[in-house]
Amino acid sequence: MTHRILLLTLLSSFLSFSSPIAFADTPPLPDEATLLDLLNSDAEKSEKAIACKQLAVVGSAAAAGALAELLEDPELASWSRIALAAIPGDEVDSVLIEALQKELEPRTKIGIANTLGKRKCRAAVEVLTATLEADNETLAESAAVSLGHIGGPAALVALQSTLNDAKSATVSSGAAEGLILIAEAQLRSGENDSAAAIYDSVGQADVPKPRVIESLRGSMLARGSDGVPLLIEQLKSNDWKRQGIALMTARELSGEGALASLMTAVDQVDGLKQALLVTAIAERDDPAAASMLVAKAKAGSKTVRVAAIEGLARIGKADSFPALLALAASDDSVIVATSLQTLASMNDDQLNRVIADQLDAATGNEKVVLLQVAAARRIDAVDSVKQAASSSDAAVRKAALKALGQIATMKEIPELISRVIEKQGQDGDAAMDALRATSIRMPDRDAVAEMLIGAADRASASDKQALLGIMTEMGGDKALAAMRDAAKSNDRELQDLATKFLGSWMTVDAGPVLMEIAKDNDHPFRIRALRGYLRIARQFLMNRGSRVRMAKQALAVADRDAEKRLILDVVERYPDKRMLEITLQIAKTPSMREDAIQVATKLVRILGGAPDTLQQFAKLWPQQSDLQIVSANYGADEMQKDVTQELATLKRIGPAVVIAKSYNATFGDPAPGIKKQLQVSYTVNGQSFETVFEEGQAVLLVPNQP
Amino acid sequence: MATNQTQATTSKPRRHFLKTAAAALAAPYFVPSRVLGAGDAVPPSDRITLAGIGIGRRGTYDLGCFLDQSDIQFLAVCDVKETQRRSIKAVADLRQGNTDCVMYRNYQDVLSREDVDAVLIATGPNWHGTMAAQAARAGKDIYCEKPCTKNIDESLELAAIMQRSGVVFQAGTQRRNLPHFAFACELAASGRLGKLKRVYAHPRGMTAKMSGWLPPEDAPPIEEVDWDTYLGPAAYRPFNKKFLDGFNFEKGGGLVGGGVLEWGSHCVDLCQLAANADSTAPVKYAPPVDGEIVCTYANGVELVLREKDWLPLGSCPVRFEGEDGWIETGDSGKFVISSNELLAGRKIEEIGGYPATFHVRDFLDCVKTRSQPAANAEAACYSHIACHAANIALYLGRELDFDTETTQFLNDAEANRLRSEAIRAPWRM
Repeated sequence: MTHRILLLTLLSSFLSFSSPIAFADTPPLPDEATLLDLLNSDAEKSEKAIACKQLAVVGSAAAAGALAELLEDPELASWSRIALAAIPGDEVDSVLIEALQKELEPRTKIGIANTLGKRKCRAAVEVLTATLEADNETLAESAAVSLGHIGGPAALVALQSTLNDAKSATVSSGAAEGLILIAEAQLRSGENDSAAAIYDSVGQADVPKPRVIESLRGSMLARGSDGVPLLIEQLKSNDWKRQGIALMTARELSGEGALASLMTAVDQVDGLKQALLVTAIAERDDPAAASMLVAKAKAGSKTVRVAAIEGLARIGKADSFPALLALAASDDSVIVATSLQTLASMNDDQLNRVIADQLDAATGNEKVVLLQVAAARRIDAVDSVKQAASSSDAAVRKAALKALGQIATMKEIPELISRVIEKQGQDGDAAMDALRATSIRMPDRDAVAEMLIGAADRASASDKQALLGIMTEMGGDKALAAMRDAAKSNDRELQDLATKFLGSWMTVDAGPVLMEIAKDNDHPFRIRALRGYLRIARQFLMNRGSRVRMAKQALAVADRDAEKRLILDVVERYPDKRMLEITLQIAKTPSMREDAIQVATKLVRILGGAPDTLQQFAKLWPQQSDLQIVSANYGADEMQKDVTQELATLKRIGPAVVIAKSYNATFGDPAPGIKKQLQVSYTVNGQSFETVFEEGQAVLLVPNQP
Repeated sequence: MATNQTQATTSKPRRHFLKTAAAALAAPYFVPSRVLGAGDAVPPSDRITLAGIGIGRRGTYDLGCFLDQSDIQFLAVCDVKETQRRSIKAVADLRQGNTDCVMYRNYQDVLSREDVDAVLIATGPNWHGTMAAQAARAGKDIYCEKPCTKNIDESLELAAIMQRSGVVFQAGTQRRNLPHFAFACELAASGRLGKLKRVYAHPRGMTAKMSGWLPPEDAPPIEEVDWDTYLGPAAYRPFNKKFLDGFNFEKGGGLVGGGVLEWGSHCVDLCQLAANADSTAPVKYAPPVDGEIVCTYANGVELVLREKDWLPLGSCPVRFEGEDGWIETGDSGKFVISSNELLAGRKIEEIGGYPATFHVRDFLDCVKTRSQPAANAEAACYSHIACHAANIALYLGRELDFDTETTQFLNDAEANRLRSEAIRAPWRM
């Protein structure tokens, strides 16, 4: 097979950097024989490089020799190794081992050493051990780390020897890393004692500090609960790195008695260090630590108390509740706030029952706390909370009403309405808040709306306003219908309120109602309704057709420039060919012409230059202008092409130049693969202008560009 | 007395104690010397010291979020491009009111500085995983832009290195800490949508192709653009300035292009969080049908990467469907929900939106407490694995079964070979 045929075969499978090919077009990979033929040909390095990547997927032992030859080319060695690393089998191991013993560039040998390690090639231990003596420190370091990946007694001996007798910090760091990898493997297989010995040896060696920190972690982990004294020793030190690894290891330490040892050791440090350790213990997510946290939460340094209470949010259960309740009802605002937060977020459904059971009997501050927690956890304790809402204690009543807002159901809405309308009790505002919170939670909005509408009939003016406000937040058909009726009533005050609420309605179904009012020339708030309608067109999610329809309908009733400006805002925000017609309509208003032209120009530039769009656009310039192109350049950065002639000869529709195909097809491509611009200098009726168009934009040579 | 479903959730509450204390107390109770500082006016000696590596467009945004925090000090910028080094120094010096930001071309000079506590890595995706590994070996805490890895093996290795080194790692998947996305994930993860059935992510383009080699051009002087370092762990190719757009360069190692990894590292990541799958990944990956890749978790929940039928809620949308309800949200900060009941009395506007500083704050708090941040290495590892596995199914055009214990594909040698790719020496993970 000739080189060219090979190349074609490869190109069919190599997805080029600059032209992404969709998945469906992805051809199968070439077979190994084709790829090997290419490697053995005089093909370009770029082609051989890609062949290596493909051999990584389809290659076999048969490719080992050809790939090994490429290791001698510094530019292809990394590509070759991609394949060699991926192809399994002894043959590849052998060529890599052989190559490591050749006179190759140090970088290439470093890569080979790394790959042998990644392959966990036992047969390479001897050559890697010899490489520990290499003059190139990075090569020796790589050999050490690879020995660590491979492991085994011989590697261990070699690394220990190097650790104690390394000729540079780089190599000793590599040996330490290799030993840590071996110790890690031993730890995974339960050989804790020997792992601990290795970690200890690294920790005591003259190695860079990060290796010492890593070894400390291992020394603690390998000893399980017996590692706690070492952990505390690090935490007591004045070295943040040692403190840090102690705190991280406190979260990781496993084995029988590890948690118990940590909890016992907590008191060996104090202040902030104790708080951090308490947090670390909590983050082990073992509920067995809850009793220690409760004890720490009750007394001692406030720093530790806060950390302990926070920790109970993760692992506390119902049995931590009495202590937390007492803390939440205490005098210290920080302890109270933290305890309430913890009680609200503890993940134990039994706690809900405990709280519900205690609600009736509780009094005073404790009752307030229980109500707050019931609300935060949304515990179904409606009867008790309702009872509390009639308490003689104002603080209890207030907390109970707030809780009702979170837990009341449809059944309680009439009672909440009565409290609002008939001013039951002395807590009108709190009751209204509860009614609001309950109403907007209910899935059956229409049923709630009916109740609120009924209430509005007998409510005072201010309550009526609040009830309409709730319906606005709720939304739904019934609420909207009620709002429409209010807006179309003969009561000016009600019209005022309802149109305000409709203007802040949160769903698009208010659009038709607002349009109905906007069309009513006798309605005192028709302008407000139109603006509310345009708010929906500007801000809400809807399909394009609906938005175009809304803009058109708005234009039909807009008789002031201010609203026409809002319609242009809609056009600007949602470019669509159909919006252009609306812009042309607005341009017929003399005072809006400039604004409309600006928006139309922006719109058409974005939409591109389809002939029918340009025809429409040209209607904005009914009178012929003298348009002359002075110069035009197309390109990116310094890769520019003078396209003055080409541009000047293209067909024009009014001020628009028709570019039938792409910019590249029309002008040629001076900078392949790079986004380009077209820069045009031109005159209109003798006046000079200069404009830059992004590749693909419609070329509109108008006097005032947006 | 019966009980309602509680507002408490099955997912573990995050560590708030620094924030709670700082917010609730007149004086910060958790102020140690050095890195444990917090509060409004933190003296320079108590700030977390930060350096930036590879700070381009995205990195500049991240850096802005860091510079908004009172408890950091930005000490140094490292970039292979001279213009970028100068531009970031100017930004940092202006914001910090000094001229202290030091510029480096060689990242090792930054990592060897003992006075640097943490690094912001925002290089091109080609470098993310390798640089994070190097930084961890130097003992630095790490905020690393996404996609963090180039293949499955690298994802696992990155998580292992972070754990071994005892450093704090936060992937730049800031949406985990954006309130509206977090709310949506919480609804799904806590079971409030009922038994979870399907989670949807938007890949924004499905291609999987091999990275390539462009015609050689004259390379600029090394001080202007350090091409060798820019290439870094990527296989050698001669200089061509088109490669300097790091956004599209070698982001997937063996397989590049398309949004399955680029956007999936955000939206698949959110689906993983919603599905309580931070420590696992789907076990089945089907190639795309009608613009959808369907992946299936061991518990039957489906992860659907789909191109169309999204509500207009902004970029990076996700949708979670349970037996009792659903929620869909995106970068607009808005969401659409099956029932207002799920809002538990809150309004949509009360919940959502940017900025991404929450994510940076989470990272800095964890630097202080040594807790795991929201987008920790393990979570990032498995969400990236899901993306890489989907990309492999896309590339090979066949259904793949994945064993999450061994992290190997079952009965598919070719797929397994795409699990990893050797990187160029002298670099290593």
